[in-house]
Parts: sequence; C-alpha cells; structure tokens
Amino acid sequence: MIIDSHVHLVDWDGDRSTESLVRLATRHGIAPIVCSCLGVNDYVRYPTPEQVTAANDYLLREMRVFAEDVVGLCYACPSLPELSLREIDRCVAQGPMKGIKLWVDTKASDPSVEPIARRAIELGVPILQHAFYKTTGNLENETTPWDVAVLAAKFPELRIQMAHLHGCGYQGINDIAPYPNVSVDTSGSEPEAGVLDRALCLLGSGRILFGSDAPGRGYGVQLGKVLGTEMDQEDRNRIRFKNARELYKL
Amino acid sequence: MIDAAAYTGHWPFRPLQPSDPAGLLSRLSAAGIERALVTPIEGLFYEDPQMANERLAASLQGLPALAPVCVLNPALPAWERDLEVCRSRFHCRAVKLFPAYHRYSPIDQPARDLFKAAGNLGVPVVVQLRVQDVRNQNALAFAPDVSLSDFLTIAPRYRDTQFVLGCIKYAEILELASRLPDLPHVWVEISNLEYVDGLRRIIDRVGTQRLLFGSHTPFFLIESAILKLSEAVLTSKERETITRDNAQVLFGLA
Repeated sequence: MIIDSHVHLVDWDGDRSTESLVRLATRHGIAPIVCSCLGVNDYVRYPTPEQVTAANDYLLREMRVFAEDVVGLCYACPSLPELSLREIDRCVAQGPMKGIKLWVDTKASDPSVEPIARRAIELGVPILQHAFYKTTGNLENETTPWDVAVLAAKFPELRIQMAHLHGCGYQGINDIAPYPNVSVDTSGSEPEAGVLDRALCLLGSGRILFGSDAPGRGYGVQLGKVLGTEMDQEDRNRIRFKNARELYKL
Repeated sequence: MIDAAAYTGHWPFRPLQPSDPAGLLSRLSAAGIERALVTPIEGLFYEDPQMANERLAASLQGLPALAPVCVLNPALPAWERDLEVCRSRFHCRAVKLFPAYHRYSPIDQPARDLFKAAGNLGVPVVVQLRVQDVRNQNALAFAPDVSLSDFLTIAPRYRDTQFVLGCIKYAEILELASRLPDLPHVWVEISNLEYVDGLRRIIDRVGTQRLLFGSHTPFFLIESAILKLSEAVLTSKERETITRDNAQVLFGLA
C-alpha cells in the first residue's frame, strides 16, 4: 500500500484530469491520493474569496466521484481569515475533508495563521503547509521551514505536514527537527540522493510521508526517492502509508 | 541497459554515494544497467578540467563497462589539445560541456569552435543544461540553467556534430519538439524529464529515436529513473531503443 500525501487537482482535461491522476497513481500501487485544489483552472497564489470557495467546491465534487481514491484538504488563505474559517467549517468540520492546505499567500510564522491553527487543533486535523528554501529567492510571503518551526513552537498540539523535503533541504530538516509535531513529505523538486537519508537520521521515519506533488511531478520519479533510499522495511512502510494513515485518520 | 548520464567523484556540497567507479558499477548493475557513460564531477570545479579527465581515465582502467565522457572548457586555451588527448588516449565516447559552471555561452565563439572540431573528429558533444535545480543550489557556486534557445540558435550550423542535451526538462523537450525533425543531430538525455506520465507524453510527441536513458546518478536516485521507464508502459522495442540502441549508435558502443 502507498498513500500519496501531496497531490493537486485542477479542472484540466485529458492526462491531468482526476481520472487520469487516479489511474496513473494506481499503476504504482498508490491509493488513496491526498489532494488539495489551489484553483479550479490553475494554481492561484493569491486567490479571491470566490476563487477559494470555487476551488474547494471543485475538490468536494471530485471527492464524491472518486470517493475511494481521493482524500481532500481544504484550501485556506490566512490573508482571507474570515473566509478561511468559514471554508474550514464547511469542508472539514461539517464536510468530508481531512485537513487544511496552506500555500504561499502568508508565511506560516505570521500571526494571521493563528486562528487557522487553533481551529485545526479543535478539529483534530493537520495543516499541510507549503515550504521551500530557494537560493533564487522565495516569493514575498512564501513560507520557509524556519517559519514552520515558529508555528510549530507556538502550537505544540498542532500537527503540521511540511511540504517538499527536497526543496526544504538540509537546513529545513534541521529547522523542524526539534518539533515532533512537524512531519515532512517527500513531494516535489528533483530526486536528489542523500536528502531522505538525512531526514531519516534527524527526524526518524515516523515523521516522513511519501508525497509526489503530481501532476507537476511524476509519481514514479517521486516514489523513487523512497524506494531508492536505503532503509529497513518498517521505515519504508511508515513513509509509504502508515504515517499518512495515522495523520489523516484513514 | 546503458546509462548515458552517470558521474563519479566528489561533490563539495553534500556526500554523494557511490563516488568511486567500482561502487557506481555495482549500484548500476543492481538496477539492471550494464554499461554507463561516466563524467568526472571534479571537471566542473578544477581550474584545469583535463586533470579530472586524467584521473577519470586512470580510475576506469579494468572497468570496461564504464566509458569516459571527458569535460572540456572551450574558454581555456588548451581545449583543442585536450580534445585530442581525450579522444585518442582516453578513448572518450563523448565530451561534456558545462557552460554555466565555466561561465560561457554555447553561442560564444570558443564553444562554436569546439563544436566544429568535435564534429570533424566524430566526437559527440553533451551540452549540460544543468546539474541541479537552481532553487536548491549552494549560493557559493550558483550556476544558472543554460539557455536552450541559445543552443538552438547555433545547433543548425553544426550538422556534422552530434549533440546531446544533458538534464533537459520536460517543458524544454516540448519546446524542442517541433524543431527536432530538422535537427537530426540533436539528442536528449532524459534523466531530468519529469511530469505525470511524462515519458509517455514525450514519446507520443517526438518518438523514441532521439531519447537517451540517463540516471544522473549519484546526484539523482537510480530508482527514480527506473520507475520513470515502468510508468511509461513501454513496448519492448521502445524500451530497447531508449535504454540501449540509441546509445550504442551514438556513442559507438558495441
């Protein structure tokens, strides 16, 4: 069994449709896929309230059609605090979604994230937080692993899935290491050797989840990070599915 | 299978394993890869990359499954001498250029002189578009991506030279696709090709005749390259073409 903890759904046709993503995932034995929608027609970094609602509506529809294969996370934007809390109530508290997705509109260390963090704790659901260290320079409000560490320290009861191990890199692993409430997914960036080894050493397999960042990334290439890194079978199973199953209560 | 893009040596920013040729061969063999073209990582950083080529050639003695791909820097004055030594003494199967690391462009005259010379000698030239995602690089040795459009402005003028675009990305292959029929001397190495079902999409667009299997190991995990192949659900013919036949023809491997 393999659970992909980081996939994006968009209302695209053909090979990037939900049907195609689910089918291609199962080619590698991946099911279910944990998905967020960052915009109906394309990823939207700084959405309007209408765009956030529409994105979550789209994901809810796809979850109904692909009930066995798609787990949903509610797209929320701390820069839209009231709208975000309403969406979390609609999609998570009263709906079928299993967590909250935060992307690039606000740094995780910003106080505006705190109401969302408190609500996540109340509901007992994790936040999947995008994070990256870019030598080329992060976007203006793009979260770094350091920001994730700040959020984790403020809310030790909050479960955080920090995205993009290979984009957060060695510095990112060290940033989150002291905070047991932070896990990291393997999604995105290139399949660089050695990074997952370091994460295993400093975080332990209990804090790492397989993720792909499909459709922008390929399932096989991303899965190769996990299958190609030396570890014992119990560690591999934790990363492949056990940690995601526990985190999202699947 | 033949891996058209493997490396040995020391990378200064994190430990890469395996770093030695015997270890590399063992790792490749375990993945079902029988032969590989190998570039010395030190060629990126040594002030005279020929020193890296000399060390590579010596280290590959007794390992016929590994064939040298020598690093040349056309911005240095002795590249012609080094090209001849690499070809005649080290029996390199190709030369590899790292324009971003050596601070020149493929459209600069020294690079063009090298393209012509290599073509006259029948030595394929790998133009390495990148080694690492620019976002993940160490700021001490930042190397921007090499411009594909720069390459495409000069490639048509050197039709006697066989070019390989190293570490080309999925979107770049799409950009290149319409030009490939007019550029029969240009090949692509697929180690950095990634998108959901990316290899199948590329095959459907450009066919298999110009694709070269590469792992970019030890920078990348070999398993990712292998799973990329299996994800594409290749026919036997497609697989043999991409993972063996094209490399045999291009690099003169028996």
